[in-house]
Amino acid sequence: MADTLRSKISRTLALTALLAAVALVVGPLVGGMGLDYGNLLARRDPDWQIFVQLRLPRTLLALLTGAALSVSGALFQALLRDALATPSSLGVSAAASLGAVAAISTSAGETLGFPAVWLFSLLGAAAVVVFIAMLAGANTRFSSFTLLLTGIAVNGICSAAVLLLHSLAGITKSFQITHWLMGGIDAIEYSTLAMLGLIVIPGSLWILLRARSWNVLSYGDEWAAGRGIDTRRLTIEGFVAGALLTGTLTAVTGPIAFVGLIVPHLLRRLVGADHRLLLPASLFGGGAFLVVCDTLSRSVLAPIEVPVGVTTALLGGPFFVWLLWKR
Amino acid sequence: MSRIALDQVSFGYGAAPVLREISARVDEPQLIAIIGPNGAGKSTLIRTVAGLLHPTSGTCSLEGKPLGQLDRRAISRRVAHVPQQVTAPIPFTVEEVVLTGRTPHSHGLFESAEDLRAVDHAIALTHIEAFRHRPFHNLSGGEQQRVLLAAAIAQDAPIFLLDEPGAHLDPENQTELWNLLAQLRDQGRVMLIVTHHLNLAAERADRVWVLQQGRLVADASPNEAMHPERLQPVFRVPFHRHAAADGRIYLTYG
Repeated sequence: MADTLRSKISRTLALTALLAAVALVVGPLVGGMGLDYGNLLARRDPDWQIFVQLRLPRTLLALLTGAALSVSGALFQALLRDALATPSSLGVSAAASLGAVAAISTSAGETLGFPAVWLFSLLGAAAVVVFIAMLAGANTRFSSFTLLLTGIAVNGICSAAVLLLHSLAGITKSFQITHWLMGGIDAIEYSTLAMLGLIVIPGSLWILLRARSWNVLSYGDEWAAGRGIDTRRLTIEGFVAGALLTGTLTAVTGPIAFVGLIVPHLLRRLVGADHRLLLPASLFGGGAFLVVCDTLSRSVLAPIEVPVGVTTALLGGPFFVWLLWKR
Repeated sequence: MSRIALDQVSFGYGAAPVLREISARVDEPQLIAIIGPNGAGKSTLIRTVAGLLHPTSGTCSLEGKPLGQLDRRAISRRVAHVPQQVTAPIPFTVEEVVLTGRTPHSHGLFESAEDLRAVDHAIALTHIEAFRHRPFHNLSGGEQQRVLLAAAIAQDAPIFLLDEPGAHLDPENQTELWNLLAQLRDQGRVMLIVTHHLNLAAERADRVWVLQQGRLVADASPNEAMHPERLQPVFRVPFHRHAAADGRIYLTYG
């Protein structure tokens, strides 16, 4: 079986990586404004500039974000034993949103060379991680169930604070807040992309290498502990890893719903529940999915851009329902 | 050296005691039935022996080592605990569930050849080949219990702690289960089994522990333990003891 599993993993990795590669190549070539491929091959502006400075970094950001959200979603579904868990279930996205909304409300500009929205958002996510890790450290009866309930409470508190700030904001800021809360993929500097990659790639790898432990933890703390897993430690570590991926990407893109829920579910039906297959498939499949959604977002109603969160829901939702009913 | 040594073990949730000063030893492979009314502390006792709960006082040792000195992996190599029920919202296959039993012995992403042999052996022993590739959560309660027992067998621990393993089984499967438990005992394992099937316990167990309100009120052979005067105050119903034509004892109550 190990050989079969190895070949299954190789096949899954090859297929999903190919899918991501195709999305990465085709995505930047498609858009509201048609590119002259002759100019592009000859590296002539404006086509070359549009491709290199706008579309390629944007596509790379979509790939990283989709990958991170899908891996976090699969992880949290195992960690919380909740098929409806998403990267935002534990309050990290809500806290990141609160940070971003606070930055917009206070008109904070740039800090340390980065947009204040990103930094405040990252601080919000980090605060939740530290808060929950401290609670877990102080409570000897900490479990994934208490983690889920704490996440729900944090979500509620942060969402209320966002609503408060939103209601106090003027019309311009209110529009900015609404726009940020919709989530969106924009072109960013390559140096920022590299920094995001330095978080997403090792973070995802860490999660992937513990795939067998997530399998065992999916049956509950008691079953996992009875099979030799230090459930408390693994739950905290998994939460921190998932929160790191979610919080970092949310700081840059805003909250993007649905990806972390539907991609793992769809892939589970294709490759099975074993996290050794599901997580690598989610990494590449989730990346490809968000690239496709972002490409559609900026192409279908061009020159108007549809928020990518709307596209993920409109595209993924009906397909997901169809898949469930087909079963 | 005792396989299991309980020395004045107490446990409680907050101020409410669940186990009270339990002392017992198991020195040889035996099939021990733990009986008692609901809430007597039977499941809590085996969860404490499995190291899943920490005694509020007293010590529990496995093969001479106090549980506090063993990490989770070391405990899981010594004891295989099977709860009454396991639920997973994620659709794992039966084979994947059985594979979880190998966790205390494996490292890395892949199972070893020995892990796979152990899984095949456990699946064959529990007669679950027919649904090996089916989703675990689609099985009946009785089938799920056999799968969990297979995972425990794959875990290859010298001590088994089973919480009502026959609760959902029909008479044929009950008989098969107890035959298998006896077979595992004969291979040198200690089997602690929480059960409400008093007649099966009377017939098949080597020893019976009777729990009442967290206290071990009897630790005796089935013949000694299964007496109406012993069981009546514990279960609070009248018991009658009978002898079958072949000499086996059985109880009726009510």
